[in-house]
Amino acid sequence: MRTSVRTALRYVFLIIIALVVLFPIYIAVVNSLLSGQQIAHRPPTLFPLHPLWNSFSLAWSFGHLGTYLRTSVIVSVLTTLAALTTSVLAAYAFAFLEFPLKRIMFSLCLATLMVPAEVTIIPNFRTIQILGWYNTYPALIIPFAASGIGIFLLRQSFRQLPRELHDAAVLDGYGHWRFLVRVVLPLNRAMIGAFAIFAFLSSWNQYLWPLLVTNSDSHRTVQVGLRQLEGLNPDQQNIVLAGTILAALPIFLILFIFQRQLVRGLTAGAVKG
Amino acid sequence: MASTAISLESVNKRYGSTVALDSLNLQVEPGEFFVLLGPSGCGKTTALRIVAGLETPTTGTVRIGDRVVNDIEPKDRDVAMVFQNYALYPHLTVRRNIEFPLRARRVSSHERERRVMEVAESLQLEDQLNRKPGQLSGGQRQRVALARAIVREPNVFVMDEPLSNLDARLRVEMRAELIDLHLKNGTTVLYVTHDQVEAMTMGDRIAILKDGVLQQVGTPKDVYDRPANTFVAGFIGNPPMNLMPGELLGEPGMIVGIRPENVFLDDNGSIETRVTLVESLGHEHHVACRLNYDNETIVFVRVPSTVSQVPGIGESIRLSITEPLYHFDSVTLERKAIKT
Ligand SMILES: Nc1ncnc2c1ncn2[C@@H]1O[C@H](COP(=O)(O)OP(=O)(O)O)[C@@H](O)[C@H]1O
Ligand SMILES: [Mg+2]
Repeated sequence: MRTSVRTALRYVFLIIIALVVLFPIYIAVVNSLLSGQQIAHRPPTLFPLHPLWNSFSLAWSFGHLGTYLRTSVIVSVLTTLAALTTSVLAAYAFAFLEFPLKRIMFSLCLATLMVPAEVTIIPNFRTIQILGWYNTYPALIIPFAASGIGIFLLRQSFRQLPRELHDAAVLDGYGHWRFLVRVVLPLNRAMIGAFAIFAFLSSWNQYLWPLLVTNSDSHRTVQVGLRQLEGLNPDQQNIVLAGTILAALPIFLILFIFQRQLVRGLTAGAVKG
Repeated sequence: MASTAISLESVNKRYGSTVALDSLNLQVEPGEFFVLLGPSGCGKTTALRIVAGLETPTTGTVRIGDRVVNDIEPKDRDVAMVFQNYALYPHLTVRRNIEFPLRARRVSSHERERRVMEVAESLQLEDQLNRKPGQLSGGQRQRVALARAIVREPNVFVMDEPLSNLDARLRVEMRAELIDLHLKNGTTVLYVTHDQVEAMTMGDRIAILKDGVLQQVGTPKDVYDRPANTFVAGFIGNPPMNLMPGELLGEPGMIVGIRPENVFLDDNGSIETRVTLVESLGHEHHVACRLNYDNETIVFVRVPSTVSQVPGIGESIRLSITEPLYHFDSVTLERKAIKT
């Protein structure tokens, strides 16, 4: 009896939170379907009786979203693959190998988590300039190809494997590479998947860095490209919002498809521990 | 054939300031079921891992057959290990787990299939081959771990407390099964346990280890009948040997030992005691008695269930004893062999 009341209260609380989080998104969707005048109307319209779908096609063509989305996909996919590769390899080394300065090097990886991104932006920008990477894909990808948080998360996850699994593989003649592929990766799918999604989302949502290191439409990501739409009249807010929704659509898709994976990864430690 | 299957010569192992093994010398004969026995933390696992090559000794020589293997990779030592917690791969089926070592050795798929089936049959695992370890009982998991070691057809097995996670009944069954397997294939086994019953029932020979120091090596009968020191005397046998201060031929400073089965309830006995504890096991009772003349000393008596009058707690009873008596030096704790 008491627990059911508590459960009910908990759900009421969660529903309120969900409403607070979802409301702005809902309003964005509603407003994207209204005309500019309707958006300005007070009291605001909460349900579009005659939705105007053409704002989406206008946003797509006027904002060149096709080009920008393509760039964003290329950058985010490659960044994710690079970050995954480096994090898996580094985490494996920290979890299973003995080498000099291991602790210090791991501390350094952790230390990168404490440094705010703003601090590194200027030196990174100088480096990109010196390398001649301004306005190229490497400029958008390489600075994020290694991830302190990825190394940390995966190392913690790898270390939960019983030491005997590694010992048994060593005795059976499995080298590091095959142990990694046959045992470590499959057993850490949840955490690796969660980190992949995390890496993809952070890359997709980058704004300042791509704005800084690119100046041509051919290499601008969708978040930066959306600024094109700012040139529109104030009464065409619906088109700006439609563009924003289009830019966020891949994120929603990914979260929707992988949400179970993500939750499993984020709670894996709690369940096992 | 080499004269020894495994040989450790003056093997030391230190972890920082911890001495895990102190000058250990062990010779395991080919085909022998050799048990390493000792309390938790005495260095048993360390010794096994050194034989398997998972740890390197700080100093000393390790031989397998007639090869010095100190610098030989674990995979090239031809040693298969069974781990205390089974170390099965949870994401692989039983079949994949068993053939795991064969895949590493690039055994052909045809040969792999044949060997897996053969081992699975001998361990009654045929019906479990497509299951995952998580779907198996403890006993079945233990069998899969064994199968994975056996399928390699190694020169030497090392097993680290393989039965300690099983419940009591299964442990007894698996004990018999392991002995059976050993008799069938005759491969050398180095077996680690902290359970003296396991050691006594399974071992051809037993080595008793304490704090990294070897106490005694011998057949089960040897270590039971002629314990080298008070530690071995107290570790082997249940209830343990009674040890009390005493004298030998008028020479004081001795510890006298007597096994509980050599102490009897006897109304005409000369030793007056009071009962402090009675454990009834069905086939026998273990009665703990406090000596009247020395309140410090408790004597255990093994009373067969055929004795109808089992004393109750607090009751005053008399005991008598028979040979053999053991005498240990109270300083060195070594046993003194007496010529009679
Ligand atoms: N990797 C290690 N690092 C530090 N100390 C260890 C390590 N492995 C074992 N020891 C120590 O060595 C001693 C023997 O351990 P172990 O061989 O595991 O004993 P047993 O298997 O008999 O219980 C213990 O004191 C243990 O704490
Ligand atoms: Mg151990």
